[in-house]
Amino acid sequence: MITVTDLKKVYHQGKREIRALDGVTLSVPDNSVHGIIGQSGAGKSTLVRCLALLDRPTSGSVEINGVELTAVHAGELRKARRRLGVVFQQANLFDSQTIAGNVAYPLELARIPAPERDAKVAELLRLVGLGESGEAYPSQLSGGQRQRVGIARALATDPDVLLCDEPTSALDPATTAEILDLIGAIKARLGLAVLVITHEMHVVKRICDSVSLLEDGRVLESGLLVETVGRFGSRLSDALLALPPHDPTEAAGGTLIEVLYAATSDGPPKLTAAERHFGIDLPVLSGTIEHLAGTTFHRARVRVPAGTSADQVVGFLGEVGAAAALSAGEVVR
Amino acid sequence: MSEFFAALFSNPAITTALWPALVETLLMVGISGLATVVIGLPLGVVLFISQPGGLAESRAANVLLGATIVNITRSIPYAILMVALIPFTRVIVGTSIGPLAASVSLSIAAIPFFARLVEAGLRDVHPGKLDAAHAMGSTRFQTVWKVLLPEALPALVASVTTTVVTLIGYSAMAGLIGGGGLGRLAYNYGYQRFQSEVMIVVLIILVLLVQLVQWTGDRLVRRVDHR
Repeated sequence: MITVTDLKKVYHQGKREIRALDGVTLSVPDNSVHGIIGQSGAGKSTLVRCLALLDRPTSGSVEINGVELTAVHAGELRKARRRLGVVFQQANLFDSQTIAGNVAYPLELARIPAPERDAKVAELLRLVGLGESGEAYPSQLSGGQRQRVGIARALATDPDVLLCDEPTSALDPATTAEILDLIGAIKARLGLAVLVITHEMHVVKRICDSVSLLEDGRVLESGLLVETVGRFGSRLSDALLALPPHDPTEAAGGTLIEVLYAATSDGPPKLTAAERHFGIDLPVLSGTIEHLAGTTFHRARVRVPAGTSADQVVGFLGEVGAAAALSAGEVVR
Repeated sequence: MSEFFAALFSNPAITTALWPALVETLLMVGISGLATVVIGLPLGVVLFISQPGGLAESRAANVLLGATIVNITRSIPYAILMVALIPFTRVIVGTSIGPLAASVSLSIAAIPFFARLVEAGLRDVHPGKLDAAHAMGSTRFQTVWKVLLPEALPALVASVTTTVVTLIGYSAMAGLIGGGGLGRLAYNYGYQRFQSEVMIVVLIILVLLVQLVQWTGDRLVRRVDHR
């Protein structure tokens, strides 16, 4: 369990004050993955550096299982760091050492005796699917394999928390999926609290149980993935279930509405119910269906034909349990 | 042609003076090379870690060592430095004559040069590696000793090679004011006595020496480079 409370980081650039983090509060329970998503400049890098305690936050606290990392002094901090494994975007392996040497490094720092260390390294390399590659050098591995080594190294000291900084941003889509699945499997197996910082929505969709939206150093939205997606009109919901652009010519002669609902096994699909109720067709101009966090979400932009009140359709959809609203103009996003 | 070789092998400059001169050159380069690495390597590390945003940021140390000592020493042409250092050399080794004495000025000229090469080599180590070392709980010393230096090793070996080659060149100059060695031999016989065969032989030996150093250095770099 990692708890971050009111974390602030202020830089001074001459007389200008830059609030890179402006009171970030979040907590990640054991055996769950929390995603922090944000555009560049949102404060993600600063947050990673403060959580990994590479930079001291200006104020606020970072607690792992009740131990406050921000309060301990340098010597203690080095020990406390072992509770937190960090996976970097570029893996940041040491090129001068073999794969086994890289994974052994944190164990050397922890003064684990050699025989025990070797056994642990072999076990970790098996865990990440690189049991045979111990004697190779990082330059001989692919990007995905290097990231696997990075994960093995982060897990070497049996941390309680795994902090992943853009772990797949340097990887191709197929490798990204493999690495994300590996992180998910390790979380389940070791019961870790995992924090994934990313700018990619598909990372959140694939492995996160909960998610926070970071902007201008603040958490704008946060919550369980299933709740966040269902929050109709919220930024995260829009981003996680992005609607593809529609053909503007199809929009003519009616009013556009947007609808979002979680699929249920009972009754007809909500749009079908509305079509039957009003005796009209509701053509779908664009839509997306995704299975996220155990729930299937439908989101669509539909045209209510002229002659039928779009407000009434929206009202009806609300009654049957679908969030709906008039579309924000004809703007194609 | 045969006359050339006859003159060559009857010339005492070649038959008796060449070998001791080579030994003197190797001594000068060896002693000053060793001193340069022993002192210049830590100096280069300090220059790197004391820079703004470095592992052990220290404006005072960076300005004193970098902008002051290193830059001033590097501004002085070696021909002037070696003469200016004669009194200092007498204090340190008791004499200003011989390979050991020449090594003093050679080292003082080469240390800042090598330190800057070391600093540049360390700067090429990806900062993410140092972050990783730090995040895993390394002390600053461990970060330098177990991560920074091993990661920069190929660049460091190449820097030693460059420095030794430079020292071979400087040692010829140092020879003129009492250091002895091949430079002195070429100057005395080849230049002052117009014995061009001595000049040619010395030049060939110097070329071979530099080639050997560079070749060995390049091989070492390949061996330690796993990138």
